[in-house]
Amino acid sequence: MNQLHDDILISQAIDGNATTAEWDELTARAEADPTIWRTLAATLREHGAFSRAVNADVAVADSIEMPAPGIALAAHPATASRLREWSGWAIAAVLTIAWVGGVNNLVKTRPATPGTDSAHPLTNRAGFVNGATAAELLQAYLDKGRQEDFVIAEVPERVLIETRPAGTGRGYELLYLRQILERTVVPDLYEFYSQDEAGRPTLVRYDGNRGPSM
Amino acid sequence: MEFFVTTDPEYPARDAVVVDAVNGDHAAMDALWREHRRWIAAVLLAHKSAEDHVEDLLQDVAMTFVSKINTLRDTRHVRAWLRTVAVNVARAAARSRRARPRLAPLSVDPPAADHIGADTVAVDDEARRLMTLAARLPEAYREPLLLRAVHGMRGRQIAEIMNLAEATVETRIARGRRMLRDLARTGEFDDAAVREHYESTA
Repeated sequence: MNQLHDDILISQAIDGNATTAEWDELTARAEADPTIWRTLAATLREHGAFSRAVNADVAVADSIEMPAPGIALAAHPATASRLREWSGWAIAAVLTIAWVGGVNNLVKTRPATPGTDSAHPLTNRAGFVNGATAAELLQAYLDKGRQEDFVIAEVPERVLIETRPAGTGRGYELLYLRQILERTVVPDLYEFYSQDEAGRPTLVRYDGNRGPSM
Repeated sequence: MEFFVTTDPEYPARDAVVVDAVNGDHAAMDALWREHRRWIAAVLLAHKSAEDHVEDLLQDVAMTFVSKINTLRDTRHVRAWLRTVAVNVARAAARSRRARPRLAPLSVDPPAADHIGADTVAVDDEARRLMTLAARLPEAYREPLLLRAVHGMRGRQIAEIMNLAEATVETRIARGRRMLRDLARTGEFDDAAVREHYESTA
């Protein structure tokens, strides 16, 4: 009789799958070798502890709902996963964009005055771009923002989201975030304080006397 | 579009749900997802890299499940199909992580290196220690052991998921328990015996 056979008998007994014949065999084996009872007890205890850990870890599955089919088709799993890693930061970024969006709209809709917007080398009188590259336009935005005191600087570090082989077969395609530090003045500020009974975030007016928010 | 699928005469009700899911019935897909998501999490635990989180990987599996369930042709193999999706997701995430330099913005703490099972509810030290030791078992033994530990997972179901004979599953579980016990007592297990056993049951 080998060790593997004993292990299988013990395993069957622990899982409640042992037949009468298997129990009889296990009992007979244990009478000849009492260490088998100790092994059975130790394995039973470890199975209980291991099961507690596994079930605690897989319990997270109960909170993962199936995505709506449209969303699943639109989002590639790998990209979605990478983006989720930064979701907290990304949500902050979205809020920031929404927040300063109004300021930027004001800048865009401000009437052109001689020597200012309409005179910028990258725009014509109607405000359209004359063959400028995206990099030149971004630089123009940064320059203009600094001039108008709402752009402080572009953060030199870029945040890498994903790396994958390029579609051409040579090199790598990178997905990354670039960050621009901006400033604006708002009449009031609110912060997320807690959640109401429905789990929705509640907002409270920020008390400036408590010092800087971050 | 209607798909023609093969069903299992032993489980007509279960197969009806799978057929409906394959044909795009959202409620059936949802029922199927809820039925299987716990053991899928166990498969992910068995195959994920130490840095990846089960929650993230499970969301990727859910995405693939919804977008690809219409490619399933044989409802008898839905469990094996879901396992393949989960294993692929776990391995792809590990590959992607290896290929990606570790960078983080200054204002965000880099994700802490976790271990198998470290990203969830606290359990007692003995349980957590065994979970940590299980990460050292060969995948072929770790996976059935994890699946057996999930509430109510029987040998036949694990055999279906892993596309193995039920006897092979039971043998691997028994052997995996022995290895885990040896690891807990001495910090090692007999690699040569494992290799020999695996080759005879693979």
